[in-house]
Amino acid sequence: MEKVIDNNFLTLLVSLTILFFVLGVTISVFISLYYRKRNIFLREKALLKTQFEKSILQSQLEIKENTLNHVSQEIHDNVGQSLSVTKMQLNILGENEMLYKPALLIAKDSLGKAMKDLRDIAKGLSSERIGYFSLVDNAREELDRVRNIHLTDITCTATGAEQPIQEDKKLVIFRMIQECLQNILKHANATKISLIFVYNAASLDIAIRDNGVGFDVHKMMEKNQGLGLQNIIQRAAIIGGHASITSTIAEGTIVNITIPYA
Amino acid sequence: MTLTILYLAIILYSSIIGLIKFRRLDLAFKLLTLLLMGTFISETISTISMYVFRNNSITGKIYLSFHIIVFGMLYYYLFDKRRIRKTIAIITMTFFTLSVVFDLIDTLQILPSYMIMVQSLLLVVYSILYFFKLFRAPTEEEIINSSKLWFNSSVLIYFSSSFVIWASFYYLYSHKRVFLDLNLILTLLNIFHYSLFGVSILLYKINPNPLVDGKGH
Repeated sequence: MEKVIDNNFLTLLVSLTILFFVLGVTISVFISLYYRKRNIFLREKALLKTQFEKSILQSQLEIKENTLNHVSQEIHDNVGQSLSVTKMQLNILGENEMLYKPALLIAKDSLGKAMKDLRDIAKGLSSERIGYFSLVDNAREELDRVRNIHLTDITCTATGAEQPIQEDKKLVIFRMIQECLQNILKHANATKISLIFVYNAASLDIAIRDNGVGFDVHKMMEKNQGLGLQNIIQRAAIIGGHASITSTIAEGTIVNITIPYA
Repeated sequence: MTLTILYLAIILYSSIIGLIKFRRLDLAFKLLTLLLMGTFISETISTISMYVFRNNSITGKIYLSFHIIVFGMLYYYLFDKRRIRKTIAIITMTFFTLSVVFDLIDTLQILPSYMIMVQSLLLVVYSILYFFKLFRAPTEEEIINSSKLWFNSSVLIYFSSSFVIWASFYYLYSHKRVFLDLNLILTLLNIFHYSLFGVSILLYKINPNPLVDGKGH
């Protein structure tokens, strides 16, 4: 009887030892597989970070380029024009021996306008301003600029309390909006553009709509023609969000962008 | 006796670490601290009643109900997915009700080993599921330093062994010599189990950065 008991007890001990061994090996295998997976994710994360930094840099460069184009246009169209008027008025005054007050006033006004335009340009020169001002305000300024040049019916609405967004992200979002507007102005032949900001609890939703000619999104993507659109989708993904494009021929296009705050 | 004192000291030490870090712990680890405190009280009473009355099954029965609820809640808070949480909540409530009903039906002198067996099996399933959750959502933290890994490993090893032991309990219980040896094995297993819980609380860090969305489980 004693021997039987001992054998049973021994069986239990052996079973427990085997169980301990098997569980130990299983946990070790789990740890090893976990490390492998973690390393893959860490590499992907590092790659994403590089892409993100590259995208920020690219956005900064593009914004600078856009701003310089805008500055050049503004100097040519407004400042240059005002200074020409001033110069003309001063020439008239120079030719007359009498002091002609209305001409002096016109010269003064033109000079004042030129100075105001220069101040506006200076304000818009720095891409850093995007970080200081609200995204909606910046977008509105951009829309004003587009409205002045292209005389399109543009509306901008924002609902919900504006939430703080990382400055780098703001730059990329702003660049995406610019890209959308450029696409609309270049290809859509639209008469109406609307930009809608919705500040949700955890994310910002942006919708950019136009009533332009529209296009076949799938065809465009398949043929690799929509580089600008792909850029928007890629940029949204890089900053942790997503973008989708819906377009109907002869009705217009909607670009929806969702960016989480965190 | 030395082993029992060592065992109680380890639980007490782990509880104290938990209490010191209590404010910084998440809900699951706060529950683990409560579990450790409850275990310390129960084991102390149990050891005394074993010496005085030669039976500690009443404490065992009360502790089992407490154990079922706390472990159920602990895994409830460890998982994120609503479906799993709901399942755990239903199982825990059912199991708790059953344990109370059986306590009322059965004589209080017999330890409900079959309930312990079922609970051990359930906890093994929870811990395996939790390993899958950990695997699906790696964090930047070194897994070796992860409190959740040590906690879950402890649960898996202890309750698998516990299942094997309690499955053979009735046979071994009838042989006094074996029962004493079994007690030794259980004490050693408990020391191992609660030491890992202590390590787990000691290593606890608030929200290690997730590398992916961890809502897989």
